[in-house]
Parts: sequence; C-alpha cells; structure tokens
Amino acid sequence: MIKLLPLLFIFVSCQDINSNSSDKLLYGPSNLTGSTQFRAAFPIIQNRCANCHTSNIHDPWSGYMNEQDWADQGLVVFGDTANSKFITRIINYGGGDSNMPEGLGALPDAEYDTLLEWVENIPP
Amino acid sequence: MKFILLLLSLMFTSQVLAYSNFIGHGYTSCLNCHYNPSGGGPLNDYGRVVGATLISGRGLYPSSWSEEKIADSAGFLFRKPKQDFLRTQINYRGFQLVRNPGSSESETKQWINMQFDGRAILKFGKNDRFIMVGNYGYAPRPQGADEDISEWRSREHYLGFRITPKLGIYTGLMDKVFGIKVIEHIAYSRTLPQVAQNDQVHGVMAHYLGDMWEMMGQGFVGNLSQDDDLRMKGASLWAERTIFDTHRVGTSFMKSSNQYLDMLSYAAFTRLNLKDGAALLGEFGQTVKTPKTSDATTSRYFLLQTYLRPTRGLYFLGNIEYNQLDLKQEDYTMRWGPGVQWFPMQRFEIRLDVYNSRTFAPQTTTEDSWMYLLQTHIWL
Repeated sequence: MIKLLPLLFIFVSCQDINSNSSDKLLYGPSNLTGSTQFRAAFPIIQNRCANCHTSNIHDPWSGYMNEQDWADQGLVVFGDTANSKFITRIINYGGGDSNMPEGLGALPDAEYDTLLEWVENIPP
Repeated sequence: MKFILLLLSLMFTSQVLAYSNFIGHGYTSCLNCHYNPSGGGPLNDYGRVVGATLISGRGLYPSSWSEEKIADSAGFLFRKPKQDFLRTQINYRGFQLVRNPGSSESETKQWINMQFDGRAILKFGKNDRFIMVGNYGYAPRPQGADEDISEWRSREHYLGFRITPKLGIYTGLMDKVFGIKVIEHIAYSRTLPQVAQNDQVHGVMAHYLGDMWEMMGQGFVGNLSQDDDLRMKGASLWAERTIFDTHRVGTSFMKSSNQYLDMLSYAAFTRLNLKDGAALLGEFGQTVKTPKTSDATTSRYFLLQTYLRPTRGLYFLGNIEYNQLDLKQEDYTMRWGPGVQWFPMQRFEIRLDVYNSRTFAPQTTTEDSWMYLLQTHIWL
C-alpha cells in the first residue's frame, strides 16, 4: 500500500478555487493599481465585502484589482452611482434588494462616503 | 425481503446513512452507506440498496415489482453488479436559484449546474477492506472568474484500508473532517470553518468506529493543486458518541494555516433520531481567523435543522441559521426557511429550499432578503 501512495498525488485537481483562493488578496501585501479614491475604497471592500465575495459560491471579487475590472463585471458605472450595482446594493441606499453587507449591518457614514466618492470619480 | 436482510447482514455492523438526517431512520454512522467514513461521495452497494428500499418512494416503479427486485436494480445503470472489484457512478446536481422572488425590480433567476461527476471505485478484500476512490467532474467556474480557469476538478481521490472492522486509514484528497456534513454547502456551518463544496485537502485520516464512539483524526497539507502559499495545512479531530441507543452528540476541532492566515474552528453538535425518518440536527461553532498581519476576528454560528417524513420518499425540512461574523460587533444575521425533499425513486431527488435572511443591527434596519432553490439530483 505504501508503494501506491505517490500515485495519489499525481491525480491533483484541475480547478483549484476554494475558500482560501483569495487569502493573498485579503491578507497579503497589496498590489493594487488605480486612482487614489479606489485605493481608499479598497480596504473597506476588504473589510466589509470580501469575507463573502471571495469564495467560489458567492460572486468572487478577488481578481478585481483595478477599476476597469469592476466596470467590466457590471458592478460600477463610471461616475454614475445610481446605476452602479455595487452602490445600490448597499443597505439603505438602493431599492428593495439593498441588503449588503449581509450580516454586518449598515456601513458607517465615512466608509459609505468613501465608496461613493470612488464611484463618482472613477476615471472613464 | 430475505435478500435485503442477507445483503444488509453481509455489510458492516449496524447502520447506514446518506444524508446526516437519515439518523432518523435509526442509522448513525456514514460508513455503511458511503465509502468515505465522513460521508459524501459515492455510495457503496449497501447505501444504494437502502436508498432504493427505504429512503426513496416506490410510486414510479411498476406495482408488480417486489422490494427484492427494486434492490436488484439499485446498481449502476439499473444493473446488479457482476463482479466485486469495480463500481462506477455518475452524479448530477443542478438547481434554479431565484433571488427576491416576486419582485418586479430585483427578481433574478439563474440555473446552476453545480456538479456533474464520474466516480470509480476499486475495492478488494472482505467487506471492501481496501478501496481506491476517484471522483472527477464538472465544477462551475465562479461568476467573474477568468475564462482560462478550468471547469473540471477532482473532488476526491483516495486510498482506504480497514486495518480492522473498527479502524481504518484513508489517504488522498478528501473533505476536511469537521462538524455535521450537511448537504447545504452555503450553510454558515460550512462556509465559516471553510469546509464547503470545494475545500477538499490532501492528507491522511484515521477513522475509528466503536460501539459507542465514532472518531476521526485528520492531518492535511492543503490542496496540492493550489499554490503553496495558499494551501491550508493543519489537522482536525471529530468525535461523536451514541446516546440513548439512537442519538448522537459530538464535537470537532480544526487548526490550520497558510502563509497569510491562521484559523481555529471548534464546534459542538448533535443529531437526534425522532423516529420514522424524522430527525433534528443542531450545531454550534466558532471560527477564529487570525491574519498574519492583523488582529483576530471571531465568528459564531449555529444551525438547527428538522426533518419530518410523512411518507416514504418525502421529507419536510425546517432550517434555522445564525451567523455573527465578528463578535466585536453586535450585528448578526438570521436565515431560516422551509424545504421539501422528494425521492420519487432511487436515483432521483427533487428538493425545494426557501431562505429568508434578516440582518439585525443596533443602528439600522434592513429589508429581508428572500430566495429559493429548486434542486434536481440524479445519480446513476
């Protein structure tokens, strides 16, 4: 049986995404690029959103390291907070489905304003 | 009936399980229905027969079919295996996910093919003493993930050897052993300790099944297909004790870390047999996440699930969950809802789960969110 053990490690997974795939982004050194407003907003996203939005079961944001990534995914519209899903889903801001960050309650005003300022000033 | 009793008597000692709630049928251990003693993955021959003759309804079978004939058709592609050393299975799960149902503004519908696996098991010796299990299949690419990420993965591949009927050693890629392995991989009891659908690890597991105690210990080195800095390396312990003959109480500990994060999870849980297929599952746990560069955050959860079985093949579910992501804050979320699980025949499961989520925060009020999942599960 011992002779067969090495065979196990030949059959490694192809897709390797799991609950730890975003640990480097969340807890490792930052390699962000983008506007000053984005770099101000990103720690809030890490603290308030990434706990859920990193796993493979719930819209992972781990790869969105610049503003264009966020726009490409339809989460933000440059300079248009009213049509930016990322903003309208925040508790007490959007419509009936504004329940984010789920499980953490509403954002403090200062953090909320930082996110608004980012989306309002995203360079097109 | 004699055939079924004979088959059951040839297998392991006393009990069977496919889902954790099947303790309601008087079965406590996962081992007798699954090759993996922690549950999940392919069913063994015994599990397939029990699924056909106890769990599933028989309304779709011809009325002339006896239970023996149904049992005979429980194998792969409705056939009775002609040899003992190889078993194959195909397993599919897909579901319709509807968020905010009924809302003209925000209702969304999405069909997700969650799982489509091919499984092969080589087994040798008395009572399948030596097994080799492979489970490879489709895994949906996460929304927004790069297109070059594969949609296929090995869900598990391992060797198992029962040194004695009570003691077994397993090594390879397997689920981490922790808590109650409920089928809902979005359950807080699975996401917070990171024992969700794709969190398998390479490692070695020892399993002991005694008269009153069942225990597992696992050492793991992470998923070897991941970059080394992300692999969670550590160990877990799991123990359940049978009480009053048909119930279980248990506890789990797990410690793991990678280059960026240390994690400690612990839980206490119980599975109660309410007779005639009815069951109650409860788990309470906490997870401490300590990033290498910042302070620790402790999360707390509990899970309460009830199952009622009004008739063979049909289960009514109740689900209540609590999630407090950070004990330093007062905010927490409750998620609850009913469900229906129907096995019209072996190989076929239809399940409806309704979820209502509400966040409680001292300074704010928020609207509830609703969603439901209509799941189809087919196995051949």
